[in-house]
Amino acid sequence: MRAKSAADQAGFTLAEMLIAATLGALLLAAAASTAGTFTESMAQLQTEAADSYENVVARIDRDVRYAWMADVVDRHRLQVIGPDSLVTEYRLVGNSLFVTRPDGSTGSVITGLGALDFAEKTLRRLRSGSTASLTGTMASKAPPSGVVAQGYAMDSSTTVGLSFVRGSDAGARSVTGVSERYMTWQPTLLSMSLARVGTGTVTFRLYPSFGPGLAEPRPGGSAIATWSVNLSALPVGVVLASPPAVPRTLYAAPTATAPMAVPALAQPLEPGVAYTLTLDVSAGATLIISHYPGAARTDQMYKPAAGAWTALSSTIPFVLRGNAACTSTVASDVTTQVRTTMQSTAGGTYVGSACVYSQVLAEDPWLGVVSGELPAGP
Amino acid sequence: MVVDQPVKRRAQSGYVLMVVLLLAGLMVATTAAYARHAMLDWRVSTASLWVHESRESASSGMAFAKQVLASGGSCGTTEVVAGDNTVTVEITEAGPDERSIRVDATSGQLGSTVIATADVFGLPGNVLPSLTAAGAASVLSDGSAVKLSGKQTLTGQTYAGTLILAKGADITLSDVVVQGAIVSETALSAPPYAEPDEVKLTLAAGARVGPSSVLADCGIFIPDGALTVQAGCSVEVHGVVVAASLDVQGTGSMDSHVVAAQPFALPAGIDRPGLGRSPLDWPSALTCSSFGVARLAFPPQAPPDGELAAIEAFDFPAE
Repeated sequence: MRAKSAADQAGFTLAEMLIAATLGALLLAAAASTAGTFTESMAQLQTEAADSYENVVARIDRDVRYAWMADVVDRHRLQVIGPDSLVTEYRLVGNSLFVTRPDGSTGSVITGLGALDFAEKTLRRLRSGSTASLTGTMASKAPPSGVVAQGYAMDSSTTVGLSFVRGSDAGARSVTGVSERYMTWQPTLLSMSLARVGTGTVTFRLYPSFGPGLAEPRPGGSAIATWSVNLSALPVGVVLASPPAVPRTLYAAPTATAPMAVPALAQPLEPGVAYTLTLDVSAGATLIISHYPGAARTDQMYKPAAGAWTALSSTIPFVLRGNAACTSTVASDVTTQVRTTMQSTAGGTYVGSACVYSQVLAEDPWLGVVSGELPAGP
Repeated sequence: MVVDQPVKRRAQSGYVLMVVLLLAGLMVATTAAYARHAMLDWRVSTASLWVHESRESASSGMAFAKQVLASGGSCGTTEVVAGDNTVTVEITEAGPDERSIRVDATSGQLGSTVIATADVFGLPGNVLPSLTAAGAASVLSDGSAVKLSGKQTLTGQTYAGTLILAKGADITLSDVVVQGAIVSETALSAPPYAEPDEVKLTLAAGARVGPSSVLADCGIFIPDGALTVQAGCSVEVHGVVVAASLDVQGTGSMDSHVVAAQPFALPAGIDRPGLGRSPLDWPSALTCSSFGVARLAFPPQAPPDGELAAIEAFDFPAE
């Protein structure tokens, strides 16, 4: 056995120590660098991944909240319209969310999407559509039941006034639950049961009434329209009895209804406003009007040549037909709230929800914003 | 036989040192990396929180602005507390039916500013509309105006001008046409008005009121009075009807706003042309106490010209 030498028992040489230390330092630096980079990358990736989804959801919410309008085209496609009518669109392509800006630039804002869903709440907005034209009865007075008609003989010394008011409610027509309104009326045809004695004309005048339910024309008011009908167009009155059997000639109530054209008015009639139609017959002629005796009424009156307007103790039936201008309504659903749900392929779920302020702050269905409307200019 | 044991022993000692150094370095690097991540995460989280807080505060500020409009608050700048922040809400009158809204909310070191323009429409709110100074002056200068006082019943009359009801008047109009508006004397002064029901106006048989050329689109304006339309009465009122209390029976039409301080219901026989469509305009002679939002727009916020010029003129320092 060989004896241990001094060299065997000595420590590391300086050269060995230096080499070992250098190698150790290099390895240490490499390891530290690798570990640091790895840790940093992991942390950054995790943070960025979570932040990216949240940021995208927050961005969509912000766009929706301050939009002029928002529209969920389908569950994978959202359009946000600004007050300048420029459109920003978010849509799912593959597993990426793409955004197209108003200038046309398109790009992916996030990838790694497992699912994307846009959901919306909507509100029905109403707007007036184009004016509708309707034909129908504008005003009428029906004969009372259980009363026999008589002939009312009217000569040139008397004026008869018939008052009428047309209501504005046209009922629901284009949208359920929304009443349309008559805006104006243009009478076209007047139907009354009339007959004649002699020759001449009957003149019709249309006035604003003194008041609603009061057939006297408004004092100082000028006629809205005046037109005449030749009596020859009317049937001849049938005499029931004549003097000396009776103090004055009695006529049978005309049975035939004479439709008479009404000329176009310069200003159409308004709903809710009372008008009076007056009848005057030319001198030497007599107009026989079918009437139904009853209680005195102020919406039908007569006026002797030198007297005041007096309530008529009977009902004179008439029908006034015409063309009406009527509102129409268009309903459209607008988005008031958008809910965005994202699911990453890693399993995270990110949810955002935002109201469209321009819609939710305008509660009246006739207000707010509908497609095609832009803000008022400065 | 020769065995090279010393060489083997020296090599083992070097490896141990190296492993120790490696482990120590790894621990230091790991600790440093985690510390950096934690620091970054705190900063990002805090910034994100500030952003969310400021945006939520800005949203609260917008809701406050809406309430100000709806409750008739005057234009101006208000500071309100929203969450843990203070929000500055500025409302300015951009036109008769337009308001500008600016909301500034700051949280931490990050702020959110929301700028909006609102189209508004008049609402009576809790306080009845009042006559503008110009409207009152117009009535006072109406040469054909008639002042009625005391307890009177007027039948079969026609008035071609404004009817002014004196304080305490108790007037019944039967088959009367007023080719103008009916206004209480008190209403010609600024609110608050006197005790309600100070003036009494009763419409009987038939009555036609308006339209008025002196107070356009105003029919009956008695914010301190009681308006009664008797059963069997036919009325035709053109223009706004404002009264402290309303008791309307009968038939006819009222073609504009009908408002009262006390609750009321109009009978089915009263036609309301234009009702149920878009909100009717208020006469320019009346001031409404509050507003509703018709439309709200958030204009895109472009950098101001001065800021753009500064950006464009900026010279990057030489590397």
